[in-house]
Amino acid sequence: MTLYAEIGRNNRTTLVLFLIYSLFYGLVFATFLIVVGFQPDLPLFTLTSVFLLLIFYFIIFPRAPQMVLSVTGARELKKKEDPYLYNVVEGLAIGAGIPMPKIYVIESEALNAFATGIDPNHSYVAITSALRKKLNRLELEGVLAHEMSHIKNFDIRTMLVASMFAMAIALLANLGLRMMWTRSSSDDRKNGGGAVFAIAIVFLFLAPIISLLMRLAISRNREYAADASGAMLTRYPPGLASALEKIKTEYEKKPVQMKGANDATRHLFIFDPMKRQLMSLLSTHPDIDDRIKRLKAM
Amino acid sequence: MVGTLEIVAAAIAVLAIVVVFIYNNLITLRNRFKNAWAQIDVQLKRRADLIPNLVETVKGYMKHERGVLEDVTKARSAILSAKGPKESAKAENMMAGALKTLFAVAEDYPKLQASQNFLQLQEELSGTESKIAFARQLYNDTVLEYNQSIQTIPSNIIAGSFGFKEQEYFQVEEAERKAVKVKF
Repeated sequence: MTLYAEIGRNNRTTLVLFLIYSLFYGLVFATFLIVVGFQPDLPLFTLTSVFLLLIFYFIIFPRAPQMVLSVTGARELKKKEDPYLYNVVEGLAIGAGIPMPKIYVIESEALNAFATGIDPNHSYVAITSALRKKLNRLELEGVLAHEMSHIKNFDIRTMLVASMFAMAIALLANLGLRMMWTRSSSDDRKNGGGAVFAIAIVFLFLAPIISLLMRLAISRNREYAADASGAMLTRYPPGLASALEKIKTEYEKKPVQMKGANDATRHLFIFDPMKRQLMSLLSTHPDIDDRIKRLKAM
Repeated sequence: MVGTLEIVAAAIAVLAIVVVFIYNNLITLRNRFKNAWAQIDVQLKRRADLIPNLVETVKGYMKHERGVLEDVTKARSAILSAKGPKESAKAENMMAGALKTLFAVAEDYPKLQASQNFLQLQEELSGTESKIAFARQLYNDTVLEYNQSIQTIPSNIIAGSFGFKEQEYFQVEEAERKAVKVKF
């Protein structure tokens, strides 16, 4: 598939996934109302939740990038320390039409890189010292182009919106299940709503898990998109393909733990730092062999 | 009761809004490629600014390569005195070629290769070449988006009515497509 077709496909998939996720959210909200009934303090509850979500978006989200950088032990790179790396990032930023991100280095044996930031004007790209040494020029450009595509495509914000959906869903599911016990159930059962009630409970129970799977699907989709956008930026897909092959081989030989990698940050990296041998459904990143295959076909 | 007059008025209003959106989008795309073009010049200037330093650094080591150094200096003069985009493009191509030759020849001078100053300059110039390439790539990408908008329905109608014209891509001249020959 050509670069353009690949990018088009990825963006359409994102739209579809978010549509499904929104509908799912609506379903959860409706189920919540079924289970809980129309309580008098529901408007207040809704208002408070919206308020908390706004605080999350406008106050917590802007501070998150700095937190991620410090938790991974990243340190800002000065141009004279590595002028080549600096020039590569600057060149890619020019090609992408975004301001140049700040460059950070992580002293680590792990082979990984990530990008973070609330928007292209306030963005950061980080790479581990081991990866910097390991990759050749074309591979380095490929990896950095992938990371900068995340910035350019606003993927960090996309995943944030997805996690806000997730928080709302988790809240509704939790609250719904709790309030089920306090509510007088006898009336509903008499009205034949017993079966519906039971299904609603099971649904709320499963909702957080389904929500997580959807978010992981969106994350994997954006990873494919960053691969394609990055390849478009360098006009050289084999660069990133080769880098991914190197990362994969090294990881299979000796998996190294990344400091600061956890469920909150794992989707930012180029290679899932908490990769599990289990089904790729639980992974934030697509199967690396498939990524390499797609890149080679571009 | 909604009469035909109200419906027609509403339809015209919707149409007007759509036209405004399309027109504004065309303006945005056009400004983007104009900006991208200007950014190329920024990188070209950076390259030009590095040249005097490079010539000074290399002069002492490559005493017998006056021809190569002269080519670089001549190219720089051509850039500074060029009038209009065609002359500028020609001069820039001259410079790119002259630099390629200079760095190829410099490989034979171990003392030069050991000089930190030279290596830094080489890296800077190499980086700048890369940035010039990226700037040109972005220009072509923005031209592509603009041309697509000009040519596809329905924006082509608006584009035609308001005088938006198709834009040319940045192209490499035939001479530059041939590989640089290094004489030893």
